[in-house]
Amino acid sequence: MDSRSAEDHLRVIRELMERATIYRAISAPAALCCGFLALIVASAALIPGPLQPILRHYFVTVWILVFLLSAVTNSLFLLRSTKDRKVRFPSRRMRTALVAITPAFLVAGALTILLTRNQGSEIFVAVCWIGLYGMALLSTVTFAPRSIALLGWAFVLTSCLCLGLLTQDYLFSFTASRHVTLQGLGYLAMAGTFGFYHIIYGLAVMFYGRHGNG
Amino acid sequence: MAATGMVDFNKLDRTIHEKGRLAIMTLLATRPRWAFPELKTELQMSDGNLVTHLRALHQAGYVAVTKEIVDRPQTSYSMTERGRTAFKAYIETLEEIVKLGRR
Repeated sequence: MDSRSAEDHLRVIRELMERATIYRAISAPAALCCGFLALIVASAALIPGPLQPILRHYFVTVWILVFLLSAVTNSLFLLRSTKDRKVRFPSRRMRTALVAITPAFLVAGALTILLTRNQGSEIFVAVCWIGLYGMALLSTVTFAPRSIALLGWAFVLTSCLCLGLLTQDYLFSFTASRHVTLQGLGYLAMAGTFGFYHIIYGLAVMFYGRHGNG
Repeated sequence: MAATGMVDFNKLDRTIHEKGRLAIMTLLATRPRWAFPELKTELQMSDGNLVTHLRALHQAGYVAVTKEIVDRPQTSYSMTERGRTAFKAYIETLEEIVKLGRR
């Protein structure tokens, strides 16, 4: 055996080990469904219509429902994927991912309870959700494909940027000059991140090929 | 004994060196236990091919077989301590060959 074929063998070993330990916590079709759902809900809240007052009034409840619906959709796609591969559901890798993301979701829940005690806090709730969702995704980075890490960073950086900009004065002048309410701003933030980011992720994963959906 | 430079090629374990068995050993090194269907899906091997390779690895003492009934009968495979040592030695030999080639 020469040096070149030894290198090839080592490369095959490394690639196989990486492939075996990679886990995609969000399936591409589920990301597309959730992204479009977020956009539809946000549009209904931002464009004047019969649903607008209800959606604006129940900001937190609406997005919790969207989250639950998205979680069920993602689980169904992952279930289908494990059935195709004839492995148990939830798979070992899925359980590891759930353990990794749980702390961020618990903090998000606690912050939601704290922030919703104050009126007009919708934008802050949205920014916290964006940041903690990004952190949840990044907590799987040691066994996730690169696209999940990029998605996580996009959410975290957007959250940091918003937190840097969201001073009382800036918010007041922004909402006053554009006739946007704080709830409306919250819907815009959710549409831009949970809507567009997920759609971009879903399309990119579908376009550039699969990395294992387990 | 066939040795070239510093590397003793007899150290390259022939049981592991075969492409299919190397892939199986690699996967078994990543986690404690693999069910047969999982190995089959990950490696894209036929049942017969996979069974033959697993049998060879089992006979060499590198792989342990567990048969259990969870809803349905299931066979799972894990790497033995002997297998782990052999796999580590195999990788170290490959690394030695690579290093030698770079000199």
